[in-house]
Amino acid sequence: MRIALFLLVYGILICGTPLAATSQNRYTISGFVREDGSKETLVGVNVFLPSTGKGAVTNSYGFYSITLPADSVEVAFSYVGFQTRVFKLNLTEDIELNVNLISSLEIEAVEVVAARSASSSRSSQMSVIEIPIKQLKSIPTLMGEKDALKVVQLLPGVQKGSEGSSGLYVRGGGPDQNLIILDDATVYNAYHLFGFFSLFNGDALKSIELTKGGFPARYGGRLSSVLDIVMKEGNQKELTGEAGVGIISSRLVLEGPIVKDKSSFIVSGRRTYIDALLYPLMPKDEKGGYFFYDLTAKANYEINRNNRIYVSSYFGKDKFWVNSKSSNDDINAGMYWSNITSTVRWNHLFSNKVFANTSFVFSKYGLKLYSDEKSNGDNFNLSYKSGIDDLGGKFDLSWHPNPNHTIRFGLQTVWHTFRPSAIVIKDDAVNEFSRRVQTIGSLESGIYAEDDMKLGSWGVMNAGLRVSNHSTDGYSNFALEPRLSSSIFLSNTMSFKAAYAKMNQNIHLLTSTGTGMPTDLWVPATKLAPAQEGWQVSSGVTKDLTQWSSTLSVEGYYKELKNVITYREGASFLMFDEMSSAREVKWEDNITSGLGWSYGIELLAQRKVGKLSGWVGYTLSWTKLKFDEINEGKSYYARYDRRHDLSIVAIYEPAKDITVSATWVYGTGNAITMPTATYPTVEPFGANSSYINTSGSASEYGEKNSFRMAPYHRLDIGFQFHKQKAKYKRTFEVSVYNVYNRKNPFFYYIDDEGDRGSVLKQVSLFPVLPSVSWTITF
Amino acid sequence: MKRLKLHIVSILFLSLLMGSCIKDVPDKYVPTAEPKLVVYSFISPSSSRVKAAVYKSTPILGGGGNSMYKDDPVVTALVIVANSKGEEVVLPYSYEESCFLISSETFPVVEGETYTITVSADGFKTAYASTTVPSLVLNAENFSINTSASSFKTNFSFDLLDGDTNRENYYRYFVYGSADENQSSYKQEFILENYLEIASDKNWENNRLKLQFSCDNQGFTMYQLVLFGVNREYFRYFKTHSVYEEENPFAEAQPIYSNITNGIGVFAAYKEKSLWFDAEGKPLERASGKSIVLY
Repeated sequence: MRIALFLLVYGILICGTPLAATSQNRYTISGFVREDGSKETLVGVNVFLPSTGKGAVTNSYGFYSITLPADSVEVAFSYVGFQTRVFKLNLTEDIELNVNLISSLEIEAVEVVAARSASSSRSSQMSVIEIPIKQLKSIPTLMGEKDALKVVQLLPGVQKGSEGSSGLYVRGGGPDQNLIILDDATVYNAYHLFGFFSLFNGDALKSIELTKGGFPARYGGRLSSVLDIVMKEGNQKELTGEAGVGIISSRLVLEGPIVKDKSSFIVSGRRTYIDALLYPLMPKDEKGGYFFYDLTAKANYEINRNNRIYVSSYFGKDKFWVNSKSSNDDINAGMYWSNITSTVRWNHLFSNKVFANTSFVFSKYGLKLYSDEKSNGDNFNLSYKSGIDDLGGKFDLSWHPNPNHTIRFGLQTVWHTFRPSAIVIKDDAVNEFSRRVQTIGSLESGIYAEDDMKLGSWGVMNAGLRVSNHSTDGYSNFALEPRLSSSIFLSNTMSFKAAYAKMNQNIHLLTSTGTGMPTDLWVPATKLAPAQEGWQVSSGVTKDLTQWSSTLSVEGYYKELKNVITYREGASFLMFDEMSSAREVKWEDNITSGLGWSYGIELLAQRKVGKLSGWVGYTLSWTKLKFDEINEGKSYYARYDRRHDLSIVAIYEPAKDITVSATWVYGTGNAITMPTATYPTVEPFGANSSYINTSGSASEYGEKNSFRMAPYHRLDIGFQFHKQKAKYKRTFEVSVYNVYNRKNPFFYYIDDEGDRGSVLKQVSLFPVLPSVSWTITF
Repeated sequence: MKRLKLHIVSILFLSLLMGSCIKDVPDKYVPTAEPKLVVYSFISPSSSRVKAAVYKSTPILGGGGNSMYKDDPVVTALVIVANSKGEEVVLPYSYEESCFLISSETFPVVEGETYTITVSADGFKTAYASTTVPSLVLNAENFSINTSASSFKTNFSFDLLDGDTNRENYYRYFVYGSADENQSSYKQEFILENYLEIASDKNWENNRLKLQFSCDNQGFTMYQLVLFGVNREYFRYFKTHSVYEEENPFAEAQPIYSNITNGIGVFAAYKEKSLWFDAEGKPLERASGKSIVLY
């Protein structure tokens, strides 16, 4: 009731402000900002009045709205990598102004007036980093595979897991605590090849934005970060495309108009071909292989200025398999996992001040392990399945009553169907058939309101509230999540920022490795495993270096997590021990809940445009966990606690036809548990037995994660040679991963070497790895 | 199932190790450890002796470390057991039983009393631990012996009734079948179905736990139910040791519980009683506190 009353009074104040201030007529300038040529809408374009500094930013669909008193005004549109455009308008009525921005690749940097385009200091949001897609395509990566998540890992506050892994650990949070959204659909397992590559190769992406803290109220459902990925819409003018051939995969993107200036499409696909290359070399009776592929497709149709429909979809699959035949046996075994997301969205302009989007979203992730064996006429079949399906809807509305306020309101509901464990076993030999299936449904809903407001000339603030609810099988969790972030202007180019956010997470990921393995299981929050809660405070200073088109920022944060889960010691993800019994174990019996906390300082110097661009990011952080049933209840460092994490990314374009890039990363070694000694164990029988019998031996481990692996560091370089041909542009890329052949630790094991005794060995995955790729753009 | 595991693990490792390399970890990153005393002692008022076994741990890494354990007792150790009144006794070493022991008549173990064990030996830090002897407020009822369900199996079930609901208690239980009234020649242990032979009463419904055992049909004429009231140290060591022994490759690592300061092992206590039944499940008159011999 109090909340409703507060919202009512607040609404009246917002609406009343312009009326009270003046009786002067006010008019609205609104429209869409697009890229010249392809007509792709541009997200985050700064629309502002150079004279007053007031302005707006285009939303995820390129729409902006700004309401001003009747006057003669000058409106500028600026965006990183594009030439700024300025319009002089005589504002005597509402104006629809759709603007096309021209790429500024040809010029050294944006114009002086475009200095505002890098105005991170003027935004109320903090802990948000946008990754330019162009930079993503230039940064050298493992085996030449352009990978959005690998680039995100290079940002401060984001740690990677182990060598080659795409898993994200944001400010001490686990990979399950990242909300990865692809066109409004949640992606549950964003990795190919056990985490070595991500689903997102950059070809079909329009924007990637990472939020690490100070979360606006429109985001919810995860504790640690939001990675909002938007697919391109497709060229509305002409058919264009891009095709590439690399060491492990090939890819193709096609985009073009369906109805010119009204409707467009984009499709992209990628597939690895190691399996096809190796297949002929394998013996006839022993075959096996691995592949992954992904397909994305999107289409949109502009019904009229006020209505537009988008349909987008992603499908990706990984598969390992082996097939072995002999005179008596035939074994066919393997595993595969797949992601499917589909989104239908409807943009509607209620007026030139009110923009709404309605989305219907479907997301599905599934894993299957299987083994079909025939031996001497007997059949043995086993399959193990797990997964999660989402079906939901989302409504977001933004209202731009005046330049001082942008009010957003929305609601969201998702029906989750969890399949944490499903086992089917058939065995002719002992005539057994067992079936165990657990399916759990849960309903997750949220409603939010937020206001992005300008505090006169001295600052901006985003205040919001999210109300979330989750219910499943007799358990429900209702939560209020206040959000606040603000920026106080210290000068025209420098600001002090602070933010607070409370978050709730109503689903858990059961993971033994934390590396984004496909065997990780998603499960809902329940009475025995309640919803995860977290809060975070952060503050820092942001400085725009306008003459360099660069931004410097320093941020500190402190984050606490509650009801974080992990497997109990001795628990297994397969949830049964022996095939013969297949006794089902409830997943809740396998886990334990605890606390986590993380704090640190992050430094970022970033330049998005110019001949030399890139960033330097450094993080100093601590992350600890505490579970009553682990490590004797004492707190311990998380495996991916990283004291120091440094990334240097440089992209240099000495000439139009050459791009040189390099990255260097350094990170403190993972915290792991190592056996330090062995000792005899005994069966705890009574003291009256004749002996206290030793029953075997055990390893002494000491405190959990008290041992540090060697630090990780690596240098990658890449050279791209571009050539404009008559009908297409060709890019030939040579890149080298791990240039100085650093043997970074992947895992350790102990080997007995006779006279030398036991020796600790380190396994490193990737030595120096050159790769080449060839891409044409037409 | 084993085949499936083998396939999956093979594929994973072959894939991951393609192009990998192996080398010694530089010394500065190698964890080292000093040898520690390993102490095991389970004391009980039901027992005629107080016993302790003392071994040493073997560092795995650094300076010729070895992952092969040694189970030679540390016979030169000084083992002292003391109660809370300051009374203490030195346990002499018995070469016959390869452990330190003394008669309970010399140093009785009393229910509810807290004892401390201190073990010292040249070259080791002095190890010590304390434990409190639990009470045993546990009854059993609804005995059911079924030999007709299968011609090969005897099934045995009963309910355990918790007599102390004020705190968390821990219990261990066995069932033996015997064809010999005097138990002198042969007896066989029943296997508990689907559970460990130990439990905490934390989540018992109505303070009751139903247990089911089975055993190959051997024409038993009497049955023995053995109940242990064990303390927390005993319970935790037993559970973690059992999981450790399973060696499940897909399971999380399970360190074995230890309460020995400056050392490894466990100093724990229990109280025991036995109940006997005939082939129809009727109680037999025997001294309920009589100790059994466990093989």
